[in-house]
Order: sequence, then C-alpha cells, then structure tokens
Amino acid sequence: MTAAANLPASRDQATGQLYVPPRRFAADGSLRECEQLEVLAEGTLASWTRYRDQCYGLIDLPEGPRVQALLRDGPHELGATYVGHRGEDGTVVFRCG
Amino acid sequence: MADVYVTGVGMTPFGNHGPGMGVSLAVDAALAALRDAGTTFAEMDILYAGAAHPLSPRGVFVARELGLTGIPVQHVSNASATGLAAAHEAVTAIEAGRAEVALVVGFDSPETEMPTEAVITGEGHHPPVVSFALWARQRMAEFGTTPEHLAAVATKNWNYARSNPFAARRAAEPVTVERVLGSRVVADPFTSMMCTPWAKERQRRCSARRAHCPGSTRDGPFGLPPAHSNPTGSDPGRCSKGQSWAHPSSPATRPPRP
Repeated sequence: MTAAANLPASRDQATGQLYVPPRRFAADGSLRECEQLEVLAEGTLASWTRYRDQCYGLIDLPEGPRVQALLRDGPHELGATYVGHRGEDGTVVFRCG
Repeated sequence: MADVYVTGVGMTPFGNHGPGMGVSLAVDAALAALRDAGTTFAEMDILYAGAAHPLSPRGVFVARELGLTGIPVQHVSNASATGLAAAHEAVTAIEAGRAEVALVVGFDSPETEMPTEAVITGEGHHPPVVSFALWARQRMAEFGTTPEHLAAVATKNWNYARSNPFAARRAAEPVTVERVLGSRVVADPFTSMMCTPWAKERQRRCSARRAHCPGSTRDGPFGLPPAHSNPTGSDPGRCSKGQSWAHPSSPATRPPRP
C-alpha cells in the first residue's frame, strides 16, 4: 500500500489557523500572508454519499479543516479513520485506513 | 434615503424551454411585471438583469427587445442569489437617487445546452446534489433527521405545486411521503422527487420604484403579505413616476394561492 498523500495547505502564523485547500492570505481580510505547507491526507469520515457510481465524503482533518473528498467504493463508516492516496492522475482518493 | 416599493411582479412558468429562449423568456416576464405595474419600459430609468448561468444571454439583449431608450443596463450574476442580488442593486440605485423606477429581470436559459452541473463541477466543486447529500447525512448523524423528515418537506412542496400554474412539476394526484421515498435514489439520502430537475430553468422579475404616496392595498411580491396600506387609494392600476400604485393582482401574472 502506498503512503498517505500530502495535501497542499497553508497556515496563518498569527493565529495558527490551518487552511485546506491553501489560502494566500488569512481569512480575516488583513492580507496577512500565510505560510504554505502540506498536511497528511488522513482524517475522520464525517459524511458520505454515492452519486453516479462515485463515492464522496467529508473528512475532518486532525487540525480542524473539513475537506471534501473522493472515496473508494463503499460502504463506508462514519467516524472511522480514512487515508488519502494519490493516483497516477494526481487525484487523491480516500479509503478506510 | 428614499423608500422603495415593489410595484409590479410577473413571471413565466418554470420549465425546460430549450436553448436559445433566454431573451424571449426574460422579455415575457418583464412584460408581465410592467403590465402588473401598469407602466411601460419607457418609464424605466435603469434595468438590472440577473442570470446565473454563464451561457444565458446578457441583459443588454433583453433591453434591446423592450426598447431602445438608452437607459443603463446592468448584468448581475451571483450564483443562486442572482435574482435577489439584482433586486438589491435596484433598491440601492433608487435609495441613492440614481433612479426613480427600475426594472429587475431574473432569468436563466442558456443559449446552447450546457448542464448547470457541468458549470459547477467545471469550477472544481462536487456536483451540487453531492454537497447537499453530504450535509444532509451529516445532519442525520448529528441531529437524528430521518429520510422521512426530508421526504415530508418535499411532499409539502409537491402538493403546493399542484395548485401553482407556474410550477415546473405538477403532480396529477396528491403526493405522499411514501411515494417520495420510493422514487429513484439520486444521492443517498436524496431521491429524485426530493431533487431539482436540472433541465428546468426559471424566470421571474419585478419592477421597483420610489413611491411618492406611501403604501398599497395589494399584496407584496410572490404572495407575501402587504407591507403597507394605501390610505390615498389614488390612481389604481397605474405605476408611473410620481404616482401611487394600488391595484388588484393580475391573474395573468400572479398564481392563485394554494
């Protein structure tokens, strides 16, 4: 199994707020530049559904952000740990870790 | 700051009218609103045209059909809030004194076929039904909302639509919760009868103006209760600059209440 993918992110160094996907500036309108970084694609499944043979989910990352995600085929378990892996086309797909 | 009133409303039925119908639909709805207000396009100081779909025609082409009067035409696009944003801009213009009478037209009918879902996913988002389904399932997990609760909302809407001549989908028979739950699953927990038919587009519009005489005896827009009474009772059925505007609803432009 391949290692968990990294997701592009950014952090407001003044407040510690983490943004996934990354923001250039802090959300408060101050135009404070954020630090660009990456976070591990791993978190807890908060919701999921299936639409046209594709599963989709909401993943809560440990540092707070909730990200929309593609999931491998289900069924899936709310509250379980999910890990994202990057495919050859660059798409990150999550599966139960 | 001037008081602002809605003086006329009109709309065309929701439905899939096919590509290339945007200007025609917008003009029909604008005519309904202008007739409801008892006025003409010549009385308008400015036109705000709202369209969310990027392939819907721009407002200048709607204005061109209504009259070559030289008024400013502003095209407004603000996703699902487009119609409201266009109306807000008209209110702001009247409050600021830049216009006395404004026409607001909201419409969406792309010139060529392009599903709205394709527009949204093309911007990097999940299909809208997926986003709403994820939120619904989260709510179900957190608050105990059930599919029956969601179906009850849809059932209420279906049954109100049965008596609305402008509704896109009008069921021949009363709709039950069981029928809504039993329709095709689109994205769990949503079934097809809980979802918007993507092929359908909508149009609605109203004209707004600063009234010199306060109040009206007529209902507010879209069946809302009247905000004022009309103590003057003057000049019913007319809406032009400097006049009051109290008159009964036009059956051609206003659906009967369910």
